Amino acid sequence: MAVYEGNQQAQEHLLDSARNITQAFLHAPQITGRTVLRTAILTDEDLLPVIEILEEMAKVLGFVKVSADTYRKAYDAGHPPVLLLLGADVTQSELGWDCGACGFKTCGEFNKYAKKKRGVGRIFGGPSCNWKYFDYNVAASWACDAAARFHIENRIEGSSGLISMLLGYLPGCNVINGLPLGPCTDIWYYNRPAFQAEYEYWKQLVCTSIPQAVQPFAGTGVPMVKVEPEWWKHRRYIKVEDVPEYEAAGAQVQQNVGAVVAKHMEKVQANVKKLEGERMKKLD
Amino acid sequence: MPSIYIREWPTDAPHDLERQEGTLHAARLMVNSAITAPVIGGVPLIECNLVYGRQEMEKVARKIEELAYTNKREVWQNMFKTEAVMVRESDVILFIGCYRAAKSPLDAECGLCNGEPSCQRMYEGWPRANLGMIDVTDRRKETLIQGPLCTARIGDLGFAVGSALRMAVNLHVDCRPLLSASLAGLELEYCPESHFVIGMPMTAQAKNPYVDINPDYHLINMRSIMETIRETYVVTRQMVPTDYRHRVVKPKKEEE
Repeated sequence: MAVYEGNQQAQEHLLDSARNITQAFLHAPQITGRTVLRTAILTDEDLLPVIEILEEMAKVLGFVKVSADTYRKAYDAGHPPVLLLLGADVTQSELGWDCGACGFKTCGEFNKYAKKKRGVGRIFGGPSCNWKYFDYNVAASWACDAAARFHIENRIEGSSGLISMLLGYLPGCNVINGLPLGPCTDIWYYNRPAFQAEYEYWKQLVCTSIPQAVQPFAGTGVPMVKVEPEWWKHRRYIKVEDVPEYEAAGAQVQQNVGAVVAKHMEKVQANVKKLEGERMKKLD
Repeated sequence: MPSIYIREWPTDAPHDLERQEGTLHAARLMVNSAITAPVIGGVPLIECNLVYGRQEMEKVARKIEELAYTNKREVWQNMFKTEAVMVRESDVILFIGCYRAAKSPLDAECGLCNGEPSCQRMYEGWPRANLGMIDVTDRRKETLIQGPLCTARIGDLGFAVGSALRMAVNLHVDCRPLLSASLAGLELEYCPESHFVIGMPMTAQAKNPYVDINPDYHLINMRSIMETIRETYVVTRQMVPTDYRHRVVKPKKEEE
């Protein structure tokens, strides 16, 4: 009789669970019945390009910093998540519903516009048909639900999806979300145990993101924030102005991300070719 | 001992109304599921209406039939007329709307609506926007839905609806989101703050009324067949010979 280390088995089983979760994603009901869903599963060292780009973006994006640390710690501890990529191309509407939700009077007008304007924003590509994107998200919701039913720590996110798109996974999809599965632990993507920061970090966040929470009397017309406990001894004021160094940092990060993508291009393209080959085989 | 008797037929008999109560309870739990679904930033953005009872179902069904003729496509008309029947056969309609889709876009320049890192499409698409806010007070519209809408918020609504549908599956209640019910709900101003509403008729019956649908369902369905039988049987019955008070029914003996 064989014996197994249970925790390791749980970690290895994540890939099988990813398969079941993909089934749930594909089985979700659709209003349009026309949204074609695509998936890919990344494991082990194929996560490294994603983590490296997350760490690059983390230099200018707070939300991504939290995510980057979470992935890196799990990877370095030998418990990398299995990353399920959920994608769809919703840039064209063959529905003929002419509903107006996209701001155009007819689907025909939207399709012409979308063909011309197809591009990528800060998280997803577009333009998108609202009904087909809705269907995609119902399916993504079912994937998350399935993961929860299997008692797998998970959190759907746009960042790893966007990075996967930049790397070239799921070609043709304008929306990709990443659903990391595991590590097998209580909470990993909530409370963010992997992310450590000093109290000063939180204080800075409060003062900049929700200054109203720490604002004294507003009647002066020159609002203050109560940064220090004895705030009257050192008054700090709010001002609206350009921050050119932040804009410059963002531009630099974009360049650096391009460099990381180029670094991993050969390996990723080989992966994509393999995945597309398998997908097309099934369609024959 | 108190007793609750539940049985599916005839529709709206006291024991059938007891059955419908169960669907209403399920709908409430689905609302919980929709509210707790993961959305971007965990921002609350949905409102719900539970609509039940025969009068309400009829109101929604008629609105669907009205909307059937707003589009010239035969596929659309057939779909709407079919789904009006489905609504009539339902116990409850759960409407879930997103109240941030117009007046409170995500503002993350995500790219979904316009394919570029900008929210320009949203803010320029409405007649009045100022101070980084969209004025939605002008509710006149030329299309069924007043747009453009923040597609990211629509995605969040998709998550909420998906979650609600999962609850329906767990509770073994038949439920299906329908385009026609969604647009009817919007016209009838359920989820009044929302510019995008999803309508999900629900029921708990032996046969799922939302699948396995024959053509011309608006003409041939359970209700119409029952009405036809009532007509046909009543007429046929009057053609039988002899007074029942003196009738002895003897099977005819086979001639040897």
